[in-house]
Amino acid sequence: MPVPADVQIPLLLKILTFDRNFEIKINTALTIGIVYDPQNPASLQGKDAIAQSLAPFTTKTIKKLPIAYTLLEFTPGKSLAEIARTKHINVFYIVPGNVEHLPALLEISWAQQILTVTGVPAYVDKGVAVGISLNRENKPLILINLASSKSAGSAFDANLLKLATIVE
Amino acid sequence: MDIDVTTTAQAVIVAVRGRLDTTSAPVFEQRLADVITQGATYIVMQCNELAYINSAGLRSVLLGGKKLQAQQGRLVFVGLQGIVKEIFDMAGFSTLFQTFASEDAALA
Amino acid sequence: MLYPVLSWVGCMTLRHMSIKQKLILTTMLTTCVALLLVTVVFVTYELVTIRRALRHDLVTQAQIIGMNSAAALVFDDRQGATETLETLHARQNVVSAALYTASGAVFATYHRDDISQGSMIPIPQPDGYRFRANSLDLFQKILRDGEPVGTIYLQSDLQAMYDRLKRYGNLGALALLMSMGVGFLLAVRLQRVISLPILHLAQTAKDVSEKRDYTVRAVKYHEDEVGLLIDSFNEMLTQIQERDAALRASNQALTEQQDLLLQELTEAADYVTSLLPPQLTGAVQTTWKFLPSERLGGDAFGYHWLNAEQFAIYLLDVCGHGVGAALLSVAVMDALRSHTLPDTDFCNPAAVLRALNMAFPMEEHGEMFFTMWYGVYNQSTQQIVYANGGHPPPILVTDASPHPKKVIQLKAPGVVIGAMPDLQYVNAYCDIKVRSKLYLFSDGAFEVTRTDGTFLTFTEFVALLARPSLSGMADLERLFQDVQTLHGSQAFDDDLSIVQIILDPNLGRGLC
Repeated sequence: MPVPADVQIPLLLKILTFDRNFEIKINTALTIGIVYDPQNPASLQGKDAIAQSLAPFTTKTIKKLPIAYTLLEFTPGKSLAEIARTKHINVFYIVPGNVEHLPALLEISWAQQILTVTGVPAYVDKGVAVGISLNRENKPLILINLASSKSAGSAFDANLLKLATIVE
Repeated sequence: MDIDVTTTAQAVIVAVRGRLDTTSAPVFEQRLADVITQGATYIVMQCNELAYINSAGLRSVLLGGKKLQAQQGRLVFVGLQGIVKEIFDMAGFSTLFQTFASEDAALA
Repeated sequence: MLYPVLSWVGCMTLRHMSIKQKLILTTMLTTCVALLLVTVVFVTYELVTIRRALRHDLVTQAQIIGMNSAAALVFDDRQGATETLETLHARQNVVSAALYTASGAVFATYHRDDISQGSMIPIPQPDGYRFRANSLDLFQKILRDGEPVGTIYLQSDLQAMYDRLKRYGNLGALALLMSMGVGFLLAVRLQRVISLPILHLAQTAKDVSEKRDYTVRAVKYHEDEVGLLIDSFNEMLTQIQERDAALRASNQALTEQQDLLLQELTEAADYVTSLLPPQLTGAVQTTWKFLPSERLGGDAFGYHWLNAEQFAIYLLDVCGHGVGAALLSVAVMDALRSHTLPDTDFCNPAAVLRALNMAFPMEEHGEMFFTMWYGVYNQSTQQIVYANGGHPPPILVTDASPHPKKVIQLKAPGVVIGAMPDLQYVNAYCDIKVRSKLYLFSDGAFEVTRTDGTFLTFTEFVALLARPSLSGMADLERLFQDVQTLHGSQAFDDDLSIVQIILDPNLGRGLC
């Protein structure tokens, strides 16, 4: 994750506000599910970092809706889909170390209209909808996999798309 | 012509100034008639400042004198001089009316 | 200070303007003012509307740009923000623009091509707009989900407004000129309705006044106040005409009457003059000058032979002059000539005067008395016997050189005749030894005012007579001319009569 978690999180939250379908998809609370691979130390590290960054935001609101997060362990066999549904997850934050799990995650994402975001730029090429990278000036860069975001039921504002890098 | 009438205990003094001619004679005649009507018996004509008299003037004097005579009154003259005296004398009025040298003499 | 000057100029000019000019001026002035007011109203309305439109436009612009810049502000995308501002190129009226962050820092700027790219951007202000002399400045917060994410600043120039105003101004001026032109033509045409009747009336009045022709009448054009004026004017003329005619008739009658009177007076005067004695030659020579102050006077004189030896001479002067005095003088003269006084010896002057006094008491003759001198010259005794009733004494001047000249006044006492009843008169006598000239005259001959206003005295008059004698009758002429010269004019205030009789005892007797 080129961009630190504490920089990512505010940015991601802002990005979410630029989803025109936000109110349609999210109506009670924004629940972010942090997906990690428990076997992967980088993943665990990432998960902690993200969770830590998200913690202060649980007292804030986004579009007047409360923010919540939950940790989602990815184990094959476990029905992540079922958990996601139960816990009303709207967004998957995919920490590093989940590269093999991406297709499965994406499937769930597209089925349950859950937006996928990550701090790993490479994942965006692989289908994650939104990613935070670093540009040449070492400033955060937004990556958006347009097709994926659309499949996840999101419709990002043209203004956001303008300053983001679209990934095919 | 101006006429001043002064009434004293003894007489009515009528002073005539200016010219007693055809234009002023009627005025004088009327004035004299008024004085006589008011009951004057002794009228003294003061002619010191009478500059001229013609036949019309003489006529009005004569008429006044005759009217006064009818009331048992008298008309006398004081201060006749110059051409007035000449005319007066020539007309024989000196025999008709008494003349005095001064007012005091007339009122004495 | 200007006002009184202007109003004086205005007054002076207005006073000399014709009605036509005044009418046109008023119309033009009204039109002009009305048009100007309308123009002002419309221009003002337009001004307000344009400004409002400009503002709305800019606000809308700010909202659009703001919305489009929100993402850039949120994600700190300066480039994106600048690019968004660059779209303002399309709006030529926007001079400058800027985006500020929520904290007030300048985030992105835009300047129109003609503006220097480094121009000052103002610090962010609260939401609002401000019209300046040449620009409209607008600040507006950019909100996202109700939260301010930044501020947008737009500055527009007012060129559009000024252009529009200039166009309107030109249009207005053009409209004004055209309207004034049309208005003027109309005014010229229409003012005739009012001015024509008035001018006609003025001309008629002038004609009447100049030619004094009261038969002229003014034509009435309309049934308005001017029509009323014209009616009154014509009515006045009718009245004048009638009065003029009446006056003429009256004057005519008066003149005729006067002519008649004058004619009668002349006839009377001729009669009186005919009563005067002829000028004699022979044993007694006479000549006379008779000048009544009006046509008829109170003077009269006569002489005639009573018998072969006695020649009566008399001159009388009734007090006053005019017809009344003349009538009395005629009556007296008649008595003297016709000897109609009862029991009177006409050779006895005192008796004659006494008889006349009895016959003509002033109470019975309009309160008039008369002065008279009556004398009888006896050729045989060479003596004049005479009596006087208040008349100036005749002057006898001896005229026989080398004998010294003697001047004698033939005086006698006596009161004016008719004054009182029972007046007595006395006879006086004068011997005529040598050729002598006897002058009889009325008081009008010497009671004249000199040019300096003083009266000629009797003595001075006598002195004139005492001068060396001229031959024949020239003495009288000279005397008369001297008196005229002294008086200073040919007209006398009183009736004037002078008779000169030359008595010469050396001449033989004889009737004339």
